[in-house]
Amino acid sequence: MSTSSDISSLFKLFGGRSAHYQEISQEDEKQSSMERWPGVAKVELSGVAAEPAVLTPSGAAVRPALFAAVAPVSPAMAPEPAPSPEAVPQAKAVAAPYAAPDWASESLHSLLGKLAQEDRREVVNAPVRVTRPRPNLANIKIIAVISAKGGVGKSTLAAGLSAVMQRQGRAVLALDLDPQSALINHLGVAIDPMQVAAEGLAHCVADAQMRDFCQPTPSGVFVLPYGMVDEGQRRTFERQLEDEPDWLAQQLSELQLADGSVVVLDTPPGPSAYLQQALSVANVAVVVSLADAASYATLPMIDRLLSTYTADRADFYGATYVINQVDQSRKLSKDITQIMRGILGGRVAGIIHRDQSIAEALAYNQSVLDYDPSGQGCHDLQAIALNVLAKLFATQRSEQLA
Amino acid sequence: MNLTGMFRARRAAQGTTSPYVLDRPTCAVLVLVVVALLALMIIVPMDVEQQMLFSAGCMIAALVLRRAANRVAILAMVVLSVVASLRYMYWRLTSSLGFDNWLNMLFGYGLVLAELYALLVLLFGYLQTAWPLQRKPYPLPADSSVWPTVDVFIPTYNEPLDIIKLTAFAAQAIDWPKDKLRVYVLDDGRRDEFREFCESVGIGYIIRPDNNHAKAGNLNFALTQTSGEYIAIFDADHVPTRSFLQVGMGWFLKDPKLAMLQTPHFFFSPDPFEKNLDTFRSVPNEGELFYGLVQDGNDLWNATFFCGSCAIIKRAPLEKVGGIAVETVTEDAHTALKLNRLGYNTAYLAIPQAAGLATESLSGHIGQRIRWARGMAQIFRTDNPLLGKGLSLGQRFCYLNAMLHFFYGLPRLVFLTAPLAYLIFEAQIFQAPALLIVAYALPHILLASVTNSTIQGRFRHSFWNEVYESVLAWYIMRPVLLAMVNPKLGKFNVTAKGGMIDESYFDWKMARPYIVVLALNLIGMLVGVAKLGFDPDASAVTLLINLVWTLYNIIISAAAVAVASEARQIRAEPRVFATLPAMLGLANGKTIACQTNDFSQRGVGIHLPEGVQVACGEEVHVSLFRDGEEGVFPASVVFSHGQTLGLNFANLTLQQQSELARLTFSRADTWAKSWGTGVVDTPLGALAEVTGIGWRGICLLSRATFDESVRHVRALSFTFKSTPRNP
Repeated sequence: MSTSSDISSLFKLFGGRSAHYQEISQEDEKQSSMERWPGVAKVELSGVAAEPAVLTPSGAAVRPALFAAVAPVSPAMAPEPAPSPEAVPQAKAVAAPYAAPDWASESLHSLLGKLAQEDRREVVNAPVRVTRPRPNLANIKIIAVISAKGGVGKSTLAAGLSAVMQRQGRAVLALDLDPQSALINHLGVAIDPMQVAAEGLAHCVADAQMRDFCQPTPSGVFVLPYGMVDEGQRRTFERQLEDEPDWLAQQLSELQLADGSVVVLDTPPGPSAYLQQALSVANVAVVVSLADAASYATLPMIDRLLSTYTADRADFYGATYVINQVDQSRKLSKDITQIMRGILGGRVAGIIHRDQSIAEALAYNQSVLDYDPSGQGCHDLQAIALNVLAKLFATQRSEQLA
Repeated sequence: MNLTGMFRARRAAQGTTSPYVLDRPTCAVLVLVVVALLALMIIVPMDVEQQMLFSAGCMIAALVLRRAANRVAILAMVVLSVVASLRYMYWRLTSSLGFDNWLNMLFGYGLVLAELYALLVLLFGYLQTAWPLQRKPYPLPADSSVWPTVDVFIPTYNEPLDIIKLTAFAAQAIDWPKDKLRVYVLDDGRRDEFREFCESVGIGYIIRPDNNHAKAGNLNFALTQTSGEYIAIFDADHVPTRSFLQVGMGWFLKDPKLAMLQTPHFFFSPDPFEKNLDTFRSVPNEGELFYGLVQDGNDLWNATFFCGSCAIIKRAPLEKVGGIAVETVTEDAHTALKLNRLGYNTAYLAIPQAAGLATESLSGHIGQRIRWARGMAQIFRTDNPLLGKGLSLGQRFCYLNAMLHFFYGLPRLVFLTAPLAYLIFEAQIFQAPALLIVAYALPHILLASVTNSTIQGRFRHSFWNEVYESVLAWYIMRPVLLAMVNPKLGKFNVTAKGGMIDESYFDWKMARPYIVVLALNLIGMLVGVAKLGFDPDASAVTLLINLVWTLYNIIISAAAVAVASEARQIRAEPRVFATLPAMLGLANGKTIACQTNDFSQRGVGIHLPEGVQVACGEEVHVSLFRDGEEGVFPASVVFSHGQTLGLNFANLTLQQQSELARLTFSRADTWAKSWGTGVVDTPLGALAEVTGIGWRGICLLSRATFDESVRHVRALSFTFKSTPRNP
């Protein structure tokens, strides 16, 4: 079955069906790529993650809210989860003077804009085991950017995807689950190592509100950084995450984001409590990899992690892969890219070429979309973002039609 | 499959009990009745008014039908045109001859013979082109282990290695199981660098001890050295796409009697007409009528013939006819004729799957056509399709027309000079009142024009036929006559390709015949106008008719003169215009996402996005994409102006050259996209077109004459000045 653009356009011009065409040269090339590198063995990946799962019929007709647009439709089901009796009355007491305004009828922009002007709450650090009904996050879309190894460009990609999606008219919140807390730097906020964002996600224990720590960025994307914590705080936070497998889900639902918003989660590499949290809420997982033998070797591991944490989720549409820093003038990079494409097939959202502009943009504190819009890196980012958006919202459309 | 066969098959599929099916006797009676009616229409004499009315009626009907332009409408127009033309010819032969003196007889019968030729070609042409088969590719079985083995032959004699390299790389890139595809270069030049190239790339290299029978002998020798079930043949410069075999081979597996499948010769560089008249891709070129329509029409009658390249031939039938024919210089058509005689089928797919270089100069172009004309005349004499067994009637007529086509030399010259007989010599070549001539001849001409325009509009503009014929008429006349007299005369001359024209110049030598014709017609025009003004005895209507005809001849011959003005060729390597995604990798690590304007083996033209500039002289890496595949090539910027860049590749390794071919020339759809996309014909528009070119021809001729005379005068004065003075 051929999906090449030149074959399909040929048959479209002259009749006949391109379905019968066999891409023999391509197959031969893939074969010879594998044979060239004896250290690269064949990997088998599960096909489970490939198919988009069936959505629970929440039936909400969601219009993607333009970031600067007027209020969306009446709130979809994002009800305030009723805390069960053993929930934190003391935290509630602390928070009592705070009267929650009518969040649901306003856009994220105005919501979070209001937040930035309000007083910050006291953060209560008491870890509490809470069992609450699973929150419904059907009105927003969540992307988890994950990888097996570090240094592959997760934060860069997460920031880039957020920026592109924001320009496409979506309301975007970028959430940093990585203790490196690097995501905020990629979104145009000045890097000052002395002043890393003091407060962030890691401070949102007990009943502290996440929305307090969301910051606007020059690109228009809202970011919730990880925050500066010492080792004790970090370990406490991670223990809480392990105790409350749906912690992130609860937090996100409490944010009461506008319908059609997109949340982009940046995670640390490899298996971790953060990865588990992210995969428990994400609709799409974007797996970032480099085009080298080491990354190739870790594909099975990330595949296993995906299966473990998303197998029983109905609203996980699947994993999609991004191959970063591809340099097709180098034989190894070219071959590994080809091999990965061969194994992953349609699950590859795209590749990002090695482009100096991406690194320079960070150093200049700019989004690469502004820094070098005519560069290939920017184009690749946009193509990938469109691909991921299509995956995110395609199932929605088919559900609408049903 | 011929027409009867198709009807039979359809009837068999439907079952024979339908009340609408006509059985043989009814069919025969119907045909007789129709023929009788038509004959009556052709023969019945009418006076001037009746004839004019009849003509007007036919014309209006034709114009109405032209709007519909579907197959049935075309058939109806053909019938109308045939009736009008036969009516004219009947009247011509019965009422307008009868000359009293030898001068009239000479000119008169000469013209009638030319007209009879034109009528014959018109009728056969309708037969050939009114119902093109429009075959679609047939899918191959999904299991590629049952696909047959194919040998790809690339015969070469004196072409440079660069041209062969591209064809060889593209042949290797054809999507076919590696173990079933073998590529061979057949080198009649026995050159070492070719052998080394083939060895380093892993393709076969075949040489033979002599060069007998040129290309045919070369191919036949290679047949003895190879064993694939099928043979794909490409001329040295015809580059196949990667889908060539998968598009073409399906029919062979479907029809066991199929022996040959032909695909179009597509040219990505302009031929001399397009180059010198600047009509590339706006006016369909000369070959498009043949490859777009005529061969497709031949296919209906199972009379497609082999064109020497871009085709697949089955080995067993080919060996049965004794290999490629060596008796004539058009060995390709002759081979197909032999195959048809043995009962094998031939097929045509009107899908361009290979592209090559057009002839470089007018002289090269003419040389190639002379060879074809000579060869066709040889076949006519030695293996006449009307005689001998094995051919169906449709096949006989199609082959006959293919050969008759090349006899246009003399008739075309007659048409170009006929009115001068009256204007200059006052010969009465039409023994009939002028108005009657108009009443009969006009519908004949106009209906033929409109019908042909409707049938051929995509592939040939009106009046261009006359231009092409006028350019070649003088040159093919003699070889054809010679070959008709003695087929053994004449040798194979290889068409030169790949040369470069440094400076634009006017090809006086080639243009001489057209200039003579043009001059004669201009003189005739002047004489005629003078007579019209000052001679009271002359018949005004007759003069006017002849003057209009002369004016037409002037336009056509001036257009032929324009073709002889060779335009300067800027690049040695013709480029293919295509918009493909590309990327530039700069030395500082940054990249630019861009598109190509054009590509060639040597370099690529890039269109940059807004606001980006790259300086001339920079070394970059250019990436070309084909879906997920990417090839990176080192290049340097040799041209930079605004958003347009010209890049030349640095020395590419063989691997890189192969990859470049795969990403550019091998694309399945590059040629298909430009096929039949020129401006569709409108007769009046085409007339304006040709008139414009005619005027340009006259201007070019005047300027060239002026330049030449200035040069001569200067040369003369120089020799005068340089005479040493006496001390």
